[in-house]
Amino acid sequence: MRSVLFLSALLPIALGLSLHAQEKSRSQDAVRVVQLLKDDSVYRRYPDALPSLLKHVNDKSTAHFDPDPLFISRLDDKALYEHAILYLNCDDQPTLEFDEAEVKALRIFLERGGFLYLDAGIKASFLGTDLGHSYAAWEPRPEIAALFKQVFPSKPLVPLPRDHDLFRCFYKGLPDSGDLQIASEQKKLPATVLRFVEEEKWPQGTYSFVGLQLKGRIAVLASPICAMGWGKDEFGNWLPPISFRIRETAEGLDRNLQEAAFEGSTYEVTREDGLKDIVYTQLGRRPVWVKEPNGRWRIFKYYTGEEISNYAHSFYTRLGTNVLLYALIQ
Amino acid sequence: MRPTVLFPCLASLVLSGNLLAQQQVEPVAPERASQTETIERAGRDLRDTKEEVRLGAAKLLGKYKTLRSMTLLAGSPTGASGTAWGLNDPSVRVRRAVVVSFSEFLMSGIYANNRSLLERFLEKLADPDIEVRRQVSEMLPGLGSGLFRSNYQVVEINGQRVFRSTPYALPPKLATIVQRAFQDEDPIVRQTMLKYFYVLRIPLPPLTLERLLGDEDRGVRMAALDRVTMLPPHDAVFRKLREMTKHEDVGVRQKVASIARSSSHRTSRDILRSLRDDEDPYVMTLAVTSLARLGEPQPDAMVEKVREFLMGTSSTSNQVVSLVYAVSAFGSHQSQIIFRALTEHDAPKIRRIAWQRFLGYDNGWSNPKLWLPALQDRDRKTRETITSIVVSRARTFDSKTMTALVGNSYVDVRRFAADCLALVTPKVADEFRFDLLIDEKTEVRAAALRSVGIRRPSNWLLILERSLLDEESMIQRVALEYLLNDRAQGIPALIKFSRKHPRNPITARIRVELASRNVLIP
Repeated sequence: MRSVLFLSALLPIALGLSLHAQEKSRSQDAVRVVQLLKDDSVYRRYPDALPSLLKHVNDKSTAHFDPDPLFISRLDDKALYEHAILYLNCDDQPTLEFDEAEVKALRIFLERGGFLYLDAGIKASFLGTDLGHSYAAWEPRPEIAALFKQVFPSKPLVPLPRDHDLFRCFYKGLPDSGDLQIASEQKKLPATVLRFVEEEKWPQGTYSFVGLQLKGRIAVLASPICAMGWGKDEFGNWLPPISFRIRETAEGLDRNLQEAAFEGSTYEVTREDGLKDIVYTQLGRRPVWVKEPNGRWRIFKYYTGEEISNYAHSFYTRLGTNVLLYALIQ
Repeated sequence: MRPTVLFPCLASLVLSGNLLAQQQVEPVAPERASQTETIERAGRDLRDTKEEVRLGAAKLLGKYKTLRSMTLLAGSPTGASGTAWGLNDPSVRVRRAVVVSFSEFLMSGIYANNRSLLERFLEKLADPDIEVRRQVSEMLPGLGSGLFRSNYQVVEINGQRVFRSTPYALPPKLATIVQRAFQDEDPIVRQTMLKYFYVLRIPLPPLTLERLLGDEDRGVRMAALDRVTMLPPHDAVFRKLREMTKHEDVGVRQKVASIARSSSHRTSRDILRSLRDDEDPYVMTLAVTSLARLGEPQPDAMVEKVREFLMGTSSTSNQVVSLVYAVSAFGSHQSQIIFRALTEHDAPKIRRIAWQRFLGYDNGWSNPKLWLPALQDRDRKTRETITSIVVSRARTFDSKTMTALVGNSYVDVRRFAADCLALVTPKVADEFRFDLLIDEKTEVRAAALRSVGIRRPSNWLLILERSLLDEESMIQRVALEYLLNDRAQGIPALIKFSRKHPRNPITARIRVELASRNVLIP
């Protein structure tokens, strides 16, 4: 099920030391993730996310991360050059504009082997200022595309195929009962939700990622927001609650959606196959339905609940774990 | 006289202004039907003989948040054809679609207080299908706010119209269904019931809570633990908590420690004592500090364990920070030892708290020997925290203290020293002024110059005049500011400077400033 990583430089220290000595040693040897926060007065939706994910990775693998990210406010901060992994939650920044010095610093960081993970680096146009939705679009958000035109003009961010090693480097597939801490006979998800998740939303535990290759490795990775699925409180409970948006259909619904009353706007969203979905949205409401390129119409249904939220958290955490470990081993 | 009910107000569903507006919406595309037509057609489809058609209609109705849509979704136990439909549809797929569509209304904040309609959805807590029951239990906050919204009726008493509130309680049959849901076979339903039962204003019996604390499902156990402090302490519940101090799940033990820490039940201390030897350092620390807070002296060995845990953790979560503060509950000597150790912690946030607490003992703020090392801390915020407090004692800084400040490698500390030149005794100020006026950093020199302008030592005019020639504009502006403040000597000095150095960039500024004070340079 899971492959065990043997990272010699990151192996836990020998047993027998005192707790204090162990903890000291941990913090000195651990890989520190750098997190960009341009303005620390910005309201952060998921402040517990990255530390929780780092603890999870430490618990489940032999990798050794410092659970406290190192915050920097500019990309030309010298501290960036002392570390290898940069995490940037695009939704936590007041803007995604960077001056020339920062662009240059980012280029140097990436060329020297650094890895940048752009959480919320993909954002479907219809989401607007709504920061609480993760939607599988297959192109970087415009600000990120513009940034990398400056950093590496000839290297665009391109979609990662579903069979990419990233999706299997540690966790494989979708969460099972063990991950969800439920009895094996317990119903994991509503039937329609489970089917959509397995077949379309996250097949084999994959998601919509775009990446930038540099010298044969992925140097930059962007995804729809995943941080909302990583946070845990001190008692080990997931936070915050997450709901699912599911595409559904039924006999006759295809025709009814074409004729049904609608007032609002439509947005084009790039699909995995490069074609465009047309998403129908109404002001102040969640998107109502979608016209797919094959001419099929499907309705969006929204599911909430403990089992939905737990499943989503488990999935995003597995995915986040794969991203961090892939950054180390690729 | 028996009151006569004239008319029940708000008895029917109330729609938001938004919703009413939406009912009047015209389709934007000519080929699309009106909203009324769409809803009525879906309503007819809900009674279709084909399951798939009914399913599609149930899904579509969720997109039109109107009273009519909700009424149609609620359906009827028996339709014209004698078959139940909507919420009572024989097809489990349709019923699921109905409750999901209704939950969309509640998610969007739609307000409904048609109680009979809401009660029909709440009854579905007893539906044979797990998915339906899960969805209904998840809807409890929305259902509860509609069911229990304050309502009133207008009655006539002795010819007077009187507004009276109409209290509401769940009908007995429904209350039984809700109580049974605590024991639903599905753990998600049990868990959600524990989360939201209070919105239905029903009690959670202590023995039910005790049973749920021992539930086989982790989510249920944790939700039950969350509810312990909501209810009056009960012996059976605390007996169960006592058992749970040995639970294998560390999250459970942490929660038990948190409950015992804040509870007044007589067994709370026993629970904390049994958690004092917990293998998890967080639980152990929580228990030990809580007992200390309750006035129980803690042996040095336990305090040492707490010190080791706090020194070893790299987390600066709110929980760890609250534990750092809780160290104060130990005896003065024990606390001092821990706080002293924590001043060398890896995390700046913890070092900052530790310094503040440590210096609070034995009047440490008035002892520079104790706080000067804090100004060597690599974290600027920590240094600034210290300087912001000791500045009030700057008058007492002696030569030795100022030597340490002036010799500090951090610019902000030297700037602090320069600021203090205006506060220390004249003798000490004279001793260190020159060193700070030639500091390598402009901001330190500017601060020193400001203190010259404030304090006006014997050679102040000369220093400020010469500073007008400084290559740094910041220094020139500070000099200008303080010379402008003195009409007797400063302004004549500026006039003299302007005449002597007409091409110096600061001269233009001087002219503007003097002109604004009606002083013209001849």
